[in-house]
Amino acid sequence: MQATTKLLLLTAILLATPMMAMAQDGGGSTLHYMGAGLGAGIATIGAGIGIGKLTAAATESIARQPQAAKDITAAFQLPLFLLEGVAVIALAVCFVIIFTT
Amino acid sequence: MTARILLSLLLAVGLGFAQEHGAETPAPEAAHVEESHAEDGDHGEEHGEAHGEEHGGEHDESFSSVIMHHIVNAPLENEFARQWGISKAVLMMLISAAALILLFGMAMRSSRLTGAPKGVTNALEALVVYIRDEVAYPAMGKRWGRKLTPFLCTLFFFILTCNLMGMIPGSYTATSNLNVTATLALITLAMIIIGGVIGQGLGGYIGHMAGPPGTPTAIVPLVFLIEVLSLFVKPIALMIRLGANMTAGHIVILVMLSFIFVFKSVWMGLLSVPLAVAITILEIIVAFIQAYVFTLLSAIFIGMGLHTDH
Repeated sequence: MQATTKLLLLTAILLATPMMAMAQDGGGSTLHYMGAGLGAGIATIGAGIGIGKLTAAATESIARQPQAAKDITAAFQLPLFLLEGVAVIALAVCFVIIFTT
Repeated sequence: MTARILLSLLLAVGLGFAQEHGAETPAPEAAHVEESHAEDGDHGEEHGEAHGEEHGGEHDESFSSVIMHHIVNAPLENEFARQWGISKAVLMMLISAAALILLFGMAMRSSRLTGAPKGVTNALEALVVYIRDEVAYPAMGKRWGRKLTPFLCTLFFFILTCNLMGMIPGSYTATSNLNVTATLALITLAMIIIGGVIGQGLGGYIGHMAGPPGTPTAIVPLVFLIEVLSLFVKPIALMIRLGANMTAGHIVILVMLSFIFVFKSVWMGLLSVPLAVAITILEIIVAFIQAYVFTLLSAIFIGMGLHTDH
């Protein structure tokens, strides 16, 4: 399985390099769009994983003790919004890249 | 009630004139819930359909500049507005303030305050009681919670109204402007510092920034630096979170609708418009959530300052 993953990664990089070269041929000033897009995507992956784990822990603990559902809901709201805020801040950086360069 | 409305509008207009366009006035810390800060503006963004006509003739403008035209603040076309430095954001905030004053004025008419609440009083009381019981009391305790509930309600209702007014086609979201959210964050920062000074004394507040008692003296400067940074980063994060959430939603809606023009075909609308409708519904949910999050985080930060156990 690990050999397959390495092979896939190598293929992806080999295929991406001529694409990046072509992008630079077109004036060299359009590469930042790809950077902004990749950045927004990776930030969304991070937020998705974080919020998913948080919600999994929260629902599991509510399932163990249903009478504590209100307290648990109040407890996990704050980290949920902090995580979402982090993803949105990354998104704002991507907007700044796209709309000001 | 008429006197209250006139006084509040006079105050709001007076405050608005004291500002440059694009920036917002800090609200006085009102003892009653319906006081909100306000500024004027007029024009505002239009969504894809109305924009389609004028877009057909503009082939030299790039899409990003067209989208930005609908999302950034700008002075108004009106001569009176330009003279007084009134921008889109300023007008939307004044309209929000007037709407809130009218709404809460209606809800708090003395004839409605006896007996069980019904109608608009009931609806608003549900929200206010939720903020008091679920946001203020857990974060700040009963005594400070009762004192600061008006402030939290002001934040919540003002942000909520500005967010929802941005959903109306043809208007601008005041809270998507970083100047507006920066002022709200500055007000929260002032409340955090005041809360910290009241809760721990001026010397105690600065002293607690050096770390809990027992930290080695060698790293106290580092801990102090980190604490000061975190004091300022929290309102900055509040500002960016609210502004970026509001801006991002509108950008996505505009991009969805601009697909129709990119593909130059009306049939793209069969795909584009349902997507835009779905994202608009999501945006309305996000409007409520972002107002709640700003209020919740403000309450928690102020509560942390008021209550740090020694």
